[in-house]
Amino acid sequence: MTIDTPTGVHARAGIDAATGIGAATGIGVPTGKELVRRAADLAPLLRKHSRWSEQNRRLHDEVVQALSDAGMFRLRVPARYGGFEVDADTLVDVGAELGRRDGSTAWVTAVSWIPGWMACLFPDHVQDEVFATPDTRLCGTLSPSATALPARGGVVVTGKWQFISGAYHANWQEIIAILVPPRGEPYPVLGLAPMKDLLIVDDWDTPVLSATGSVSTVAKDLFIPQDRILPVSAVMQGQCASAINATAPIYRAPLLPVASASIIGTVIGLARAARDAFFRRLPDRKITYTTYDTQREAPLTHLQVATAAMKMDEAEFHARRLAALVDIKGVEGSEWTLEERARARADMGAAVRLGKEAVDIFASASGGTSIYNDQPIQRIAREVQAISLHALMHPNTNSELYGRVLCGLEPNTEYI
Amino acid sequence: MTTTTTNPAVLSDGDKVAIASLTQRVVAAWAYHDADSFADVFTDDGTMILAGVYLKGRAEIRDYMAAAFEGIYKGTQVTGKPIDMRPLGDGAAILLSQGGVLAVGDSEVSESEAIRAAWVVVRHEGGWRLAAYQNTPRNA
Repeated sequence: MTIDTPTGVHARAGIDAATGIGAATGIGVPTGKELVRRAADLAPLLRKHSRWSEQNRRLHDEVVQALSDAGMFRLRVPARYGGFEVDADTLVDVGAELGRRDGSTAWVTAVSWIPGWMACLFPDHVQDEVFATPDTRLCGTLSPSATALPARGGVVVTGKWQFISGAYHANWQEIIAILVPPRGEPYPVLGLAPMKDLLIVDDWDTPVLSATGSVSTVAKDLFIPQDRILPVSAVMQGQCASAINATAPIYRAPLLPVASASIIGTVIGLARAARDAFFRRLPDRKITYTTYDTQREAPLTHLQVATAAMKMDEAEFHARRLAALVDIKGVEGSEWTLEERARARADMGAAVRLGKEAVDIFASASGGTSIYNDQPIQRIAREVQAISLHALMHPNTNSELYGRVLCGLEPNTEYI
Repeated sequence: MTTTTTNPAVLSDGDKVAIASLTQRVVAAWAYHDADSFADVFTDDGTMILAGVYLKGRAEIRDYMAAAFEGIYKGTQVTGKPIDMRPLGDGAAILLSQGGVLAVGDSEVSESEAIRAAWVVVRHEGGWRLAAYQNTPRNA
């Protein structure tokens, strides 16, 4: 399969490499193509540990180390910390390549890009602390399932967050809590907490995406200094408390389109993985209890693969349009309209729907022998199904939101 | 809406969040199996009534929970979500919740463990504390 080259906006990493700015950091800044190659090169290691990670409900330490070594956690880190500051289109490329190799690995990596990006909105001295090592890993949440009470110099946070993918290997967690100010209305705040200050509750027991280690975390009377707190509304609007990052294209965007563009590559990659798995087995497969000696010659198969392939193209169209909007508006520094925000989520939902439909077609055409544990396609089908249930990724929810806005109604969510 | 003269107290949104957050303090203390933090949610003379259990005072509550976290509650989690909240006059309110103990491996409270609870809460040094807690099985 060919690797899709970024279209439209060029990866900042590529520009940096061309101008030699990256070299000033002492670490070569790889191009988007190079990052995709590195992701592809991880395939044998991901295969090796896939079963272990599933059975132990977290990524194998060697996988996380290899991801770190390949720079996968640096994609959105500021260049001054040795990061690559790649654009959203490159996230789609790299996320898709990881997703094609291993869904859980892609999920954990892509999810880390989102709180990692959020950390870049904090004041610069906070970033100095978070990115003290360039391969810092962040996990995070968008759920305000905690409370923050004012304390001298900051807030005290208590609560529990579910579905914290990658918590086991993270250095920091981005948290959300409802702040109760001494006067005025409560409002949600974003905070950064060192993982050592949080309790991990091993409640991740699922038959799918098990390797993501998406456990719960708990804060109990956890003090967070004022500098490590930001109002969620500022982040939703793309307001930046970092003086240095405020003018950088990748950091001046609202949260939800950025998060959507960060995660969608995983789904594109899963569809590619299903296609790979299907065509790998196709030459040797019959259609059992029929006269077809090879599935390859059945018109039904032709219809299925053509339909699935077109759905993959359509899914990618939506992923690329989403990423291009994030990238172009970041470069322009222009305001996001409500319709653009709603469309960003609609694009994510459409890519999920089409990606899942493509996977389902390949899976349904793969026969009873495809359900053995060693066959990737049954796992891919379950993974894309699970991802499509995510409250922010669900195709129906996203379509409805877009339709509401097109009809002139207010969005029924703050997550836009 | 009409205002009653017998109950003029109104809970601000901040009060509501702070009162509801007591459930989160219990959830967090439970996750850590931290009997001190659990007891600290209560007033000094707070009471806790569970099936077969009556405790009065923070020390009794702490001692009971310390033993329970090593015994019947070991390895468990707890969950609780507000279902109702009303002021009871200035500086006092009642919170009703539903939830229960999550056994190891449970993502949802089982039918047998599901409870509803009443929390009588009082304002204390700018925050809120639990003066009386009582729960009852949700299912008869």
